[in-house]
Amino acid sequence: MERYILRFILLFRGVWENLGVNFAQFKIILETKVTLDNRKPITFKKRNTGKSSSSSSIIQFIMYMIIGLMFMVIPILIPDRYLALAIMLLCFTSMLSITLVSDFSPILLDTRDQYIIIPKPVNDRTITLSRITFIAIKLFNQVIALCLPLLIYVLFNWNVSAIFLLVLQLLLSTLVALVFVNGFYLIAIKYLPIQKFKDIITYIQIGLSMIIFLAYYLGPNLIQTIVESHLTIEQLKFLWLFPSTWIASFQSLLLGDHSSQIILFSVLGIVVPLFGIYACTHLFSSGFNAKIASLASADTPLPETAENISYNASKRPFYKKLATSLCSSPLEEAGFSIVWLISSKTREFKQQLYPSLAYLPIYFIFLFLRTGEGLSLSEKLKKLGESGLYVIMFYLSLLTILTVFQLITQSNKYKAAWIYYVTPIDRPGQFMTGVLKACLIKYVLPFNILFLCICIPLFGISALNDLLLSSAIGGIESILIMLFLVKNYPFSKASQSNSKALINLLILGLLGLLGYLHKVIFQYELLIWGLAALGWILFFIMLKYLQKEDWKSLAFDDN
Amino acid sequence: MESPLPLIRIIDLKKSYGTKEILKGINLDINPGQVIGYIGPNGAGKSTTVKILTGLIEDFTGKVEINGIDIQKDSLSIKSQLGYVPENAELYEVLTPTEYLDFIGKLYGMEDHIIQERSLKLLKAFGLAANANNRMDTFSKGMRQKVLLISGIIHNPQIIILDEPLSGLDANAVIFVKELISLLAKEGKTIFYCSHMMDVVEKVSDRILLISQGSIIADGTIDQLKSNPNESLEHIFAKLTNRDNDALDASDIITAIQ
Repeated sequence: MERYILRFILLFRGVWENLGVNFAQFKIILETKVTLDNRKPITFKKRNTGKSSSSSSIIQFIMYMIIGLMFMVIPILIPDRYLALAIMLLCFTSMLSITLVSDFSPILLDTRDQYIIIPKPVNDRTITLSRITFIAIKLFNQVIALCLPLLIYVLFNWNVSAIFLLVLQLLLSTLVALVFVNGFYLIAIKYLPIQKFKDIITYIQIGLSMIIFLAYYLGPNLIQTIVESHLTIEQLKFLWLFPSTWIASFQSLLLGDHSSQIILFSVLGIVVPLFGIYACTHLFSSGFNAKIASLASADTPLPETAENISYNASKRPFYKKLATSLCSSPLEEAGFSIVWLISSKTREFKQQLYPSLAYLPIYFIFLFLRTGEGLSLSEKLKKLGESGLYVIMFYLSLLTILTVFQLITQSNKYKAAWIYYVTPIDRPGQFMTGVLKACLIKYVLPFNILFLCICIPLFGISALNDLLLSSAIGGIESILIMLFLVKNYPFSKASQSNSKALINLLILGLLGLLGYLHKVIFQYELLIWGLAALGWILFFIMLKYLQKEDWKSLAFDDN
Repeated sequence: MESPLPLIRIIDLKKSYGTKEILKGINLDINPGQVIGYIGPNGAGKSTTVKILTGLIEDFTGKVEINGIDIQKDSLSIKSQLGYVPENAELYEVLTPTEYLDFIGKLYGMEDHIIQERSLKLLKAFGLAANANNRMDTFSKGMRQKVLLISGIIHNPQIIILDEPLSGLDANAVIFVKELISLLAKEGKTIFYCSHMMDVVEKVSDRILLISQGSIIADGTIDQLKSNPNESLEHIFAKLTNRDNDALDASDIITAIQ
C-alpha cells in the first residue's frame, strides 16, 4: 500500500520541484525508505531473530485493518450513532497517537540519515521533505487501513452527507492525534534526556500492546453493558472531556439535534484540532527540527574522560544485597545478577514480557465481572470467597513463569554469551539456580505479595494457605520448566528455534487441572496446609537437585 | 640440562568443518613469559586456534596442554588460568562496566570485595572511572574494548589471549595497551597476541607465529624471520603468504572508478 501512496505522491513532480526539492534524490530516498520499511521485521519475535521480511507493510496493513474491523463493530452494535462515534473516534485517536509515538519515533530518530544521506550532496529541503513525506506515507497507510472497514460499512448504511461528514471527522481525529503526538515530542524533548526519552517510547509500545489486549478482552463486555443498559452520552459524562466526543457531535447536528451542548461541542470539534495544528506549526515548533536532529545525533558515544571521579563502591545496590542473601556462591550470585540486571534494562525483553503480564489484572477484572452477574459488589466478593474462585487467579499468575523462562534465554545481544564458555563455570547448576531465584523473586513474588494484600482483607486469613500451596506448586513448576525446557544460558540465543507449543499446552493443562483440584478441596483447610508444607519441602529438595545438575545442554554453538 | 616444561603445548592439532580442514596438524611449545604474535591471512585458522585454546571449541583432534593439563580432560582448571579478549567487542551493553565486571568476576569465583577493588583500580587505570556507572550502550567502540581488556585480566590470569585487542582504540590507547602487554610479559604472563596490525605485532612480540592454510609456516623472532635487516614484518607476511600470486590489484580499482 505504501508503494501506491508513494507513486501517487510522485505524480506531483512539479509541486515538489517548486518546493525546492531535487526530485531524483527525493524519489530515490523515499523509494529506499519504503523498501527498508517493507523489509523490517514486523513482530517482536521476528525482531529478535533479526530476520527481515519482504512484505512487512502488507502484513501491517492487514493487522491495522483487523483493528479497523473492531472499530467498525462499535457503530454496528451501539444504536446511538453519537455515542457509537464518540467511542469509535476515541479508540481511533488513541490507537493512532500511540502508534505515531511508537512507530514513528524510530523514523524521526533514525541516525542512518546522519551517516548515509547528509554527507552526500543532498540539499536540506530534500532531506527534510523526504523525511516528512515518508512519515505522511506511513500515517496515511495506517489511517486508510483503520478506516477502510468502517467506510465500507457506512457506504451501505448511511446517507451520502453522513459519509462525507464521517470522512471529515476522521481527518479531524487524525489531526487531534498529530497535535497530541507533537505535544508529547515537544514536552519530552524539552524535559527528558535522550535515554529516558527512548525508554518512555518503549513503555508506550508496551502500553500499546496492553491496551490492545485489554480492548480485546474487555471491549465486548463494555459494549454489551452499554447496549443492555441503554446508556447515552449524557450518562457517560467523562466522555465529554475527549475531543473525539466533540468531533462525533457533527453527526448529531446533521441528524437535527441543535441543542446548545451539541453546537458547543461541534464548534470545539473544529476549532480545537485546527488551533492545535496552528499552535504546533507556528507557536511551538521553533527549533523543533533542530531538536529532533540533536536527538538523532544523541546516540553518539559518551566522551571518554580521564577524570578519576570514583564511584561509591561501598554502596551496594538492592539486587546485590538480594543476591548475597539468597545465593550460596559467587557463581549463583552471577546467575542471579545477570538476569536481574539485563531483564530490567533490556527494552526488547520488557516489550515482550510486560504485555504478557498484563493479562493478569485483565483476567481478574474479567473473573470479577463474570462472577454472579447481577449481584452487588459485596455479594460478588462473598461469592468469590465462598466458592474459592479466587484460587484460579493464583494459578493464572503461574503462567507468568512459562513466559519468563521462554524469554530469559533470548537476547539481541546473544553473541555476548561467549563469556560463559571461556570462564570456569564448574557447577552450571548453581549458576542456573541463581537464574531461577532471580526470576521467581522478580516476576512471581510480587504477584504473591499483591494477592496477599488483596485476598487476606477480602477473603480472610484462610486465603493464606491457598496462596502458600499455589506458590509451592509454582516453584515446583519453575524447576521442572528449567530442567526440561531451558536449554541455554540466559540471554545466549537469538530466538526460540523450535516451537514448544505442545509442551506449553501440557503445562497450561496441568496448571489448569491443579487449579481445579485445589478449588475442589478448597473447603478442607487442614489438607491444604498439609499439601502446602509438602509442596514447599518438595520444592527445596528439587532446588538442591537443580544445583547439582550438570546442564550438558548448555554447550557452545560454534557458529 | 632438561628444558623447562612449556606452559602451552600443542601437539598435532587438527580441526575440520565438514570436509574443510581448517587446522592441519599444528605443533607448538610456548614458554612462560613469552609474547607470541600470532598472525595469518583471513581464514588461515587463527580464530579456530584461539577458540580451541579458550575452550570455545572442544571437538578437535590432537592434544592441547596448558601447564601440563590436557584441555579436553580438565578445561575448567585451564579456563581459570586464561584471560581472553575476543576480536568482536560483544558484551552485555545494557550493563555498566561495574556491573559487567562484577558478573565476570563472579564467573571466575572471585570474592565480592576483590572484584570491587580490582574493578575500581582497573577502570581508573584505563581512564574509565568517570563512566563506571554509565551503561555501555552509550560507549564508543574503544571504550567497550577497554572494558573487555579489563574483563580479560581482572582475575589475574597466567595466560592472556588477545584477539585484535587494539580494534577501535585511539592512538594513545594503543600506546597504553602496547606498554601494558610489555609489563604483563615482564610480570611473567604469557601473551598470545593475534592481530593484523603487523607494526604492532613486530614491536610487542618476542616470537612470531605465521599461520597459513591451517599450518604454521614461520616461527621465530622477528630477526630470525627477516632475510635482510630492512625487511618489515609486513613484507615477510606478504612474501610467505603468496600475496604476489593471488592478491587484489589496487590499480584495477583505480581503473574501475575512472
